[in-house]
Amino acid sequence: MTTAAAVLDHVPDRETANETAHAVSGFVQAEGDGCRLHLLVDGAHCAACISTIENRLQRDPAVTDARLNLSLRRLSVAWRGDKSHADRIAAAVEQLGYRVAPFDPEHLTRIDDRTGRELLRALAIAAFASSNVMMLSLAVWAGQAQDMPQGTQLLFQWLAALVTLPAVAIGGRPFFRSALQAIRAGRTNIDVPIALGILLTTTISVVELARHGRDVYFDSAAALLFVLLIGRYLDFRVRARSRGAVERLLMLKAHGAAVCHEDGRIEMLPADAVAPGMIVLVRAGERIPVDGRVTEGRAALDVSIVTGESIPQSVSPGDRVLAGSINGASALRIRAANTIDRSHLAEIVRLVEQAELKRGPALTLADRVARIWTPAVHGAAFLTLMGWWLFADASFATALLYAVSVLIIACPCAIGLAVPAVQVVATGALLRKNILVRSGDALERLARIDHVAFDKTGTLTEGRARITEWPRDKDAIVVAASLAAASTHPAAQAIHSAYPDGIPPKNTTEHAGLGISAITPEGEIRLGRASFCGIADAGCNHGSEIWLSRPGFTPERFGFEDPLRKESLHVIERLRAKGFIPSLLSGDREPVVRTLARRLGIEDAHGGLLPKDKLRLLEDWRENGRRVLMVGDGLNDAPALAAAYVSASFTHGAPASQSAADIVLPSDRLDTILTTWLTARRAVRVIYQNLGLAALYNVALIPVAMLGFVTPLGAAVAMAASSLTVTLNALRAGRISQEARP
Amino acid sequence: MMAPLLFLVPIALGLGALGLFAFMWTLKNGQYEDLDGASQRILTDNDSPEHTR
Repeated sequence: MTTAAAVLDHVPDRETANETAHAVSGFVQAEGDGCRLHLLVDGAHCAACISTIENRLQRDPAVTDARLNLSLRRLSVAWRGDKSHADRIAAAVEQLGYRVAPFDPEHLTRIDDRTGRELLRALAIAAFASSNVMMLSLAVWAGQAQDMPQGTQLLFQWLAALVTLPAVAIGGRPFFRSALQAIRAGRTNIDVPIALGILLTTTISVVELARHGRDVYFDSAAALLFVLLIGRYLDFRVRARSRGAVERLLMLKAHGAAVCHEDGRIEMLPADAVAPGMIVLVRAGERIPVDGRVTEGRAALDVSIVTGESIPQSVSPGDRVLAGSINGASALRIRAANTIDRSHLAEIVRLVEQAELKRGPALTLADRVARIWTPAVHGAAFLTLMGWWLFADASFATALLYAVSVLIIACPCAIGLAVPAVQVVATGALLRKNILVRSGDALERLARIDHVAFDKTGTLTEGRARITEWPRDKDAIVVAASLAAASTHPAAQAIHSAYPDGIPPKNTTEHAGLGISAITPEGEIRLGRASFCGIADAGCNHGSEIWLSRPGFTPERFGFEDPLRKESLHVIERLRAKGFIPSLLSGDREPVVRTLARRLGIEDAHGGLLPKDKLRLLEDWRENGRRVLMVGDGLNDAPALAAAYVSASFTHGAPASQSAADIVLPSDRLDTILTTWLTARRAVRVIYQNLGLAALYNVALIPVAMLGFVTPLGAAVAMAASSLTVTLNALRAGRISQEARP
Repeated sequence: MMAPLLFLVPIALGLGALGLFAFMWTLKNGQYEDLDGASQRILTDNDSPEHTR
């Protein structure tokens, strides 16, 4: 896929000019007698976008259906005819000014869809059950106070049972399943007491109903289920929403590979379908899809995202290129060396998987609470049973009833809601600031960090080389700028942009990997490496300077470097002020890293690290009990991100780093890490308050239940009150702190 | 006392069940798949039958 933007940015060369830029036919699915194509549309966000795109496609007589899903930014188009029409459809949408990326819906996580529907269905059933059972129960409670005949009360309670039992059987499944899984694995989680609570409440109610007793808690069972399902659905929404957003980011980047066949045809294949030996065309601005060797063309590759090196790498035929690098200059043809599973990228993915496996699933706050709460409450229930049965001479049945009423009154509903409600409010507020938090517990972990490790290139620096040292002589700049117009090398373009009006002199020649020269009446002018311009290469500045030599003048130096982001120093200082230790982990050369660390005042700086070195450092820290936040955007950071206690990447980062990170920050905004941290700390404070409130209700009411004073009405009121309190308190987590502003 | 209840309670439960089934139908019909889109689509004038799916 070549994007419209990339075509505009770069002058199309011989290869891109006469071929369609949108070879998406490899993604077409057959549907009946026609075809269907799924496209991800970037940039669509309003009613006008929907109608522009849909109307444009419906003007095409072959198109039978075109529908844009604005929530997921997915466009689904069906048409009569053959596959090749797909390219025209994609081109039509791009002409409207939207970027498109084809995708195969089979590759997307379908689980999300199914879980979401199951939870919504369960939620609807529980809502129906709890409202109707409450209607019946209210009548019974009112009837007990007045003179409702016993028979009518019984009828109402049987009706309540009729509604509640199927609702529990269907709506309780998510909890039962998770609890069973936990028990089979020999652990407990929050769902074990929840499932036990629901089952016990229902069972005791059926038993009491059969013996015409007073303690029929069907309304509590249904309400418990309803409230807990709300919590569960909120939790699911947090995950699904950010996962969808990250998936969208990845899909826009993970486009296919343009494979050149021998007959001159160019076919767009998914990157994993490229076989070794195939020739792949990589246009300017595109990512290299597979590892390989250049067969044709010269270009400067932006490898910052792959290795962390900030200076672009010049490649010419025969050079090895790594998947994930961005082709900055002109089109290249490469011969694929490995299929995607054996590439450098796949190696990183393997490291990421190993790191994730080693880190293991994080223990969430809710599960930690369950570990304290479950034995406490169940212990109280056991004490009640023993106390009444052995010491108060109650019958075993009565004692059991009181014990169960302890479990009912200490319902975990407030706990089940206390955490997800805060998480959904906090992550929602962050999402509006374009900060994606991939799971609710990432906020809990972020609030507990004590150490922050940064990647250099693209994280603390801008990730783009810029000219930072200009020669004093204005004239030299003008000459260099006009000569630089002849080259597409990023450094040359940076010089050229200083005087964009400069016209390159005639007779310029580009010497690959060295520089540019031009013959003028006065003699030869050269712009390029020190050695190319006849200067002894000092060695240490290799690759970060450009020289201009002119006949009759002393050579002039242009120093370029990857500048610090303007907010980096502020962020580091703020973090240090909060008591965190900053570290710098970079794949770039040691001297560059050292200089930068000194400027930021970071003492713990490591340069020349390979992805596995970064990973090892993170693992060492973890073994020493440090809770490290790792911030990085490169492919080489991905294993370290996966191993960190909590990690953040950027929207501009490498896809692998985004899928390994817990948090995805907006592109080029390092300061958002402070906002996120402050919001996380606030959210965790609200979560603790909520758990405290829930505990308060329990502490107040459990003694009442132990003494046997709980009635079904009392249980219902307590449940409603505690759920409402924690929900209202959760809303306070949405305020984003302004303290982070520089 | 009992007679009105015998038909009022089933009616109440029946109406609730009706709402539940209506919700299940909308869920199955995919009406919650694009909530952002639905809120924007009402702003366009394409209400002619060929635009509805």
